[in-house]
Order: sequence, then structure tokens, then C-alpha cells
Amino acid sequence: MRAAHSAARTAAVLAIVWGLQACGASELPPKSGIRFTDATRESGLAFVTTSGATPSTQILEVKGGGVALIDRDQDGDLDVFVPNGATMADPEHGPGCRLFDNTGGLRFRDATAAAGLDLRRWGIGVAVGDADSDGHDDLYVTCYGPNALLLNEGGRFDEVTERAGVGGDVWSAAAAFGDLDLDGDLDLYVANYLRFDIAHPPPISSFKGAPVFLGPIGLPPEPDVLYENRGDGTFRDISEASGCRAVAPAFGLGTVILDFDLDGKQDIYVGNDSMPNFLFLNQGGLCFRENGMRSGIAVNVDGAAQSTMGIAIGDVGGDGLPSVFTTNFSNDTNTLHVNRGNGFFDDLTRRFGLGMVSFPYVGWAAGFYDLEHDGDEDLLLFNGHVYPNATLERMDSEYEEPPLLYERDGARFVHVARPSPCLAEKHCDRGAAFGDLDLDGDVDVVVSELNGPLRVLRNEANAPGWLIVELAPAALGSKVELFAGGGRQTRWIYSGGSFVSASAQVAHFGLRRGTRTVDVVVTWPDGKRRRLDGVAADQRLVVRRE
Amino acid sequence: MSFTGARLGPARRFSIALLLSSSIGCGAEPAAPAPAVRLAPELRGAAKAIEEKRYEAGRALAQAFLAAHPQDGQAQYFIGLSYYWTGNYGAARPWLERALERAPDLWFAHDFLGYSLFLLGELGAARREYEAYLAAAPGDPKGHYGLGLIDLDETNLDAAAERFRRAIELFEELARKDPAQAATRQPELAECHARLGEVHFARGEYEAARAELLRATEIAPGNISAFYTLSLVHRRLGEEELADQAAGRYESARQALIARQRAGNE
Repeated sequence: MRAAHSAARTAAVLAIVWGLQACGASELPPKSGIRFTDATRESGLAFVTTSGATPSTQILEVKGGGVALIDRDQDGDLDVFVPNGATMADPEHGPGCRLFDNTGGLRFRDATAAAGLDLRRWGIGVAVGDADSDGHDDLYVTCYGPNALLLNEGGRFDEVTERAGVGGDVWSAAAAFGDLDLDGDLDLYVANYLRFDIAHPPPISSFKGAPVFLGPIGLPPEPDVLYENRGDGTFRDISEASGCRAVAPAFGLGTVILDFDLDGKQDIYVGNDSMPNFLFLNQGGLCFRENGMRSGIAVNVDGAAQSTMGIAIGDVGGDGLPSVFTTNFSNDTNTLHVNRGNGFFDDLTRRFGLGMVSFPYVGWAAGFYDLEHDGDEDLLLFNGHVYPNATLERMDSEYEEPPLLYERDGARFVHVARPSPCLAEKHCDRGAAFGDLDLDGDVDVVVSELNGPLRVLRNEANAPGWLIVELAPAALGSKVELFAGGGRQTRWIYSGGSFVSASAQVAHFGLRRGTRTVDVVVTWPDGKRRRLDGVAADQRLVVRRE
Repeated sequence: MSFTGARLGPARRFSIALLLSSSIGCGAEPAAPAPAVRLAPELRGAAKAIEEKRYEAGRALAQAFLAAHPQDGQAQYFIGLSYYWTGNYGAARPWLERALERAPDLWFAHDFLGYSLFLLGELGAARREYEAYLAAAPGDPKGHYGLGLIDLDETNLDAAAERFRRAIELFEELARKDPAQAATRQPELAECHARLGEVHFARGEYEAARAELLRATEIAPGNISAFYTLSLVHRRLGEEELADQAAGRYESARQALIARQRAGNE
């Protein structure tokens, strides 16, 4: 196009043309060692999710749903749970949730009925945790309407929502388990979204001049809920007493429970849509103080409240501190808040190379994982717009968008502009869960597309140089450090994050080439530590609390 | 939504004035004067409508003219501007690109195209547009500011600081030579100080950051971003009371913005 310039062009414009040609050669995207293939077809995981109608007409329909990886039958591999939604015509009787058993070799079989699951409400998010401390991971499903606590009784699930007292009756998005009072059982935080009346849907709004559904701005936000686990199969709503209701209600879409300020107590981070995010610091005694704005994690570097959807936790600074990456709406960047360890977080999105590349994308699920086993964590996130009429010309974004893959390269993340074909395809993705599905040591992904088929993305790292640390019993909020070659890597085992999904609750490490043995230190939430020296690489290491 | 729109975008009146008059109109005298541009009389209506924020009307007038003169770069420019000012940068981009192809004398379009490309995440292309703008108008602060933004995003902090400092110097020159115009461009100057403060903050140079951010908030009390960063800087310096004051000003400005957004139903 520019080469067609006439000879009459000014020297200034010709300089631009030359500049373009010169830069073209030098801007070839770098090749990446990260390789994925789409294994959906052969996996047998054939399922199309439901979340309202296509095309979406109201905000209720566009959030899609999450995915959970859970070893429900304790056979050593990860099964797949999908909450699944419903439609506005019959929100309480959707097609129902699904559970797919992992039968090995990255193949799955529908085991919904065998697992006793028949949840047909409008499910959205899912959290995994051993709510009744019986050694089996349970499921908590957030819904439009009452949420559901599904206790795993050795492979079959029983819904105990009413008895446990954790139902609610609003639109909940995300949930996370964590032992907030260090009494040995898991408490529960539920991030609620907004009040939406199906019988009286809101009027049409506009975005960049185009007609769109209204929300979240313009609709009333729902306050979140914090439940204390009484340890007797019931929970107590302590939202008010804990101080979590001291803040104005917000449009909660994501949450993670972890010790962010390193004081030995589990804190609660909440990602809010179009409002500042919350950081509830645990003061002890199940009392919390919201400190997001003071600590610098509530908004981005411009002071702008973002539309936080997804959350990923990683030690990006290599100093053992949990930093927080959030995915956001289009016409905005995703954001990396780096934990400074002194109670402050800095928005270092740009410094880590994660800035304007993400500007056209509506981001959802995200995760930091060492995808090619080179000793540092990469970043993979999934995108897709909410407005079916989104086009580049109308909204600077397309409705279907490809994932964004960043490979860690020294101090920065480098956008992989030429990823594997399955990571270049455009979709309208929402939730994703990360974990080693085929037990080959690398991290695979199950992705949930809005009103689309689940996708199984197989990591083709096929390379030695990994270690997976599993705690027995599972201990959410634990820290796992790996020492090798003078370096340290840190992972946290936590509930929440990605987008309304539950990834494998293990610590996955990639190792630098040639690493044969490593030292591992596990720190449980109550501060108890266990050190294992000379651990061989390329294995799943189960660490028991002594 | 981000406050990105609060960054120093090209000024609306400036974009029109360059065509309505035959003057260069960019304030400080360029080292190498950029060519004057005269507006086609038939497009005065489109220009006026866009200046008055009647974007659809302006676009329709420009499109009508373009239908009769398919090669006209000025009409394409106004169509691009009508999208730009409504925040449709993806829509503005092809019109601005075509405008520059067909009317390379519209040098100021490089600024709009550069900023559009920046917001579309195409930093390399944005840089080229700002360099072209700077080549045409080396005395205007915007070129340096735009390149500073890109350097900031690419973490070239030294280069970014140099760009913002140069932009501030040019605003100071403008104040000496054309106080009236400089007065109307105070928010842009404040934005340059705010971004320079951000560079210092990123480097951990909190005293220097505080000085720049205080200057930004003095010049433009509506600069939300500057108040926010200033609150963080005060807190890092242990100035809790000042931090709370800045945070209060930030929160007031943020709530005002939310009220405006709700009124606009966006």
C-alpha cells in the first residue's frame, strides 16, 4: 500500500516508507520453544458449554463459565468438571454440569451420572477444596441463583448446600477456599457480581457509539460473602463481622486466597469489574482490613480502576513474593502488580513487557507456568470479547480473539507472535484450568469457550527437567520453594484465580537444562516447614506433613 | 475502563485549526517549518461540526465530499478524526493512513495516527508515525511526548525521561513566545510532568517523582493519574498525611469521572 506512493511525495513521507521497509525485516516475531496441540478430538472430551443464547443479548449471558481439574476418584490423574450454565428462558433448568473422568493417555469419559451429579442451575464458577476435611476434594459451584456445595464422598458427590449454609441467592462469579483462621479447615470467600433481574432486563446501552447491553456500570453490585467453616459440616456467614462488608459492594469476578503480605496469615484478593480491586489483609481472629488502594494493588499505574476478570499468581521477581497479574477489558492493558514485600505493590506491567500488546483484547483466564521447562514461568491467557458486534473498526477489538502467550526471557515477558496454531486460533474464551492431564510432566490446559466446545490443549514440551510437588493432604495456602544451581523458584498452592476456574493444586516446576537433583522446601500455612534435599528431577513428588 | 484517554491526546481544536487557518499553528516555531495546509472550502462544514463535537454530522459531510472527490485526503482525515474523537481508534486508523497517503502535507495527522496505533498496541508503527510528526514539527512537544509514551511502555526509561523533559522544555519555550496558546495547553504540560514523575517512580527516585507530580497537579488539578501516583510516592517517602491528602484528591476526581461516565451511559 505504502509502496504505491507517487514520486511527488515529500521527503518526510518517503522516510516513513523506508523506515517501514527497514523495520519490517527486523520485526520478525521470535520463535518460541513452547508448543501446544489441540487434542480435543482424540480426548473424547466433547462438550459444548451453555451460557444463554448466541449471540448474547444481556450481561448475564456473556461471562461464560469455568473449568475445574480435580482428582475426584483419587486414581492419581486429573478429572475435568464443568459447571455449565443455562439460558434466560429457563435459568434453573439448564443442560447441567458435567464431570469427565480421566481414563489415561489424555482421554476422558463422561462420568457425570456415575459421580451422582445433577446440577442444572446456571453454573458459572467453581472452586476445589476439601471442605469437610475427609481427604477428598469437594466442589463449590457459583451460580446465578443459589450456589452449590458438592461434597465428594469417595467419588460420588452429594449436594449439601442448604445444610452447610453456603447457598446465597444472588449472582456469584468466583469462589476460593482457604484456612483463614488456621484452625485446620477451609473457609470460603465468594465474589458476587451484580443484581440482574431476568424478568426485567435492563435497557440497551452503548459502547463507542455502538448499541450494547447495559452493565456492569449502571446495575447494582452485589456484596461478597465470607463464610467461616465451623468444622461440623456447616459454615457461618461472617461477612459483616469480619470487616469484609466495610467496603462498598463491587462487581466481583475473581478471587484468590493467599498470604500476600507475608505475615503468616492468609489474605483475600478480589478482582472487581470496573471498580478498584480489594486486598483484605488478615488481621487475625477472622478480622480483615481492606488495603488495596494503600498498597497500590487496587488500580493500575494511572490510578484507573480496571475491569478485572482473570487472576494469575507468580513469583515474577524471583524473590519469593507472590505478584498478581490480572486480565482486563479491551482498550486497557492487562496488569502486573509486583509484590515489593514491604506491603506495597507496584504496577510494573510495562517493565515486564506486558503492556500495550494486550490493549485490544478482553482477557479472561490466565496462568503463570513454566510451559517449556527452562526454569522460569511463562504466561498464557485467553481472550474473547463480550459484545457480539465487536469489530476492529467499531470497537478496536474483534469478538473472537486469540490467546496471548508470553515467554519469559530474562527480566521480561516476550509476546510470542507466532505461537502453535492452536494458540493462534480466535475464540471467545472464558475459563481455563491448567494441569498435567497426561502425566508427562508438563502443564496442559482445558479451555472453556462461551457457548462453544471445550478445548484440550496438550503441551508438547515432552522434555525432561520438571518436578511436580503434591502435598498430602492438600494444604491450600502452602508455599513450595525449589532450590537448584544457586537459584530459587517459588510456587504457591492456592484456591481461586485463572477465571472462575480451578487449576491443579500442585506446584509445577521446570528446571534448567542438566538439572538432575534439587532441594525442596515446603511451608504450610501455619508456618510448619519441611525440607527435602537431593530430590531427583522428572517425578511427581508427594510430600506428607510430618 | 482505563484513564488512558486522559493522556495527552492531540487537542481537538488544534486538529481543526491547522486546517481552518493557513498557519502552522503548533505553537513554538519548528526548527524546520512544516508546510502550511489550507482547508478545502467545501470541507469547512465538516471541520466545524467536528470541532463542535458533532462527529456523525461531520463524518457525513466529509463522506459526501469524498463521494464526489474519492482521492481527497482532507476528507479522509476528517472522517478519521470523527472516529478518533469518539474513541474508535481501529476505525480511525485506515482513514488516517489513507489521508496521509493521499495528502502527505497533513503532517499533523501523524500524531492522531500515532496515538491510534499506540492504543491498538502497535508500538513499532506508532513510533514511526511520531517520528514522522517530529520530523515535520520538531518544535511541537507532542512528538516527544508520544515517543516518550512508547519508550515508557517499552521500558526505555532513560529515553522516556529525555522525551518528556524535551517536551516540557518546548512548552516552556511556547510560554515565552505565545502565552495565550501555552495557557490553553496547560493540561498537556501537566501530563508531561506526570509521565516524567512516573518514570522517576519506576526508578525508585521518589523525591524527583514527587517534584514532577506536584508540578503536574499544580498545573492541572484534574489530572487523576498524577494524584494517584503522588499518593503512592508520598507513602513510599513515609509522608502519610500528604499521601492521604493526595489519595483524597484522587478519589474525588475518580468519583467525578464515574459520575460523568454514568451520565454518558458508557
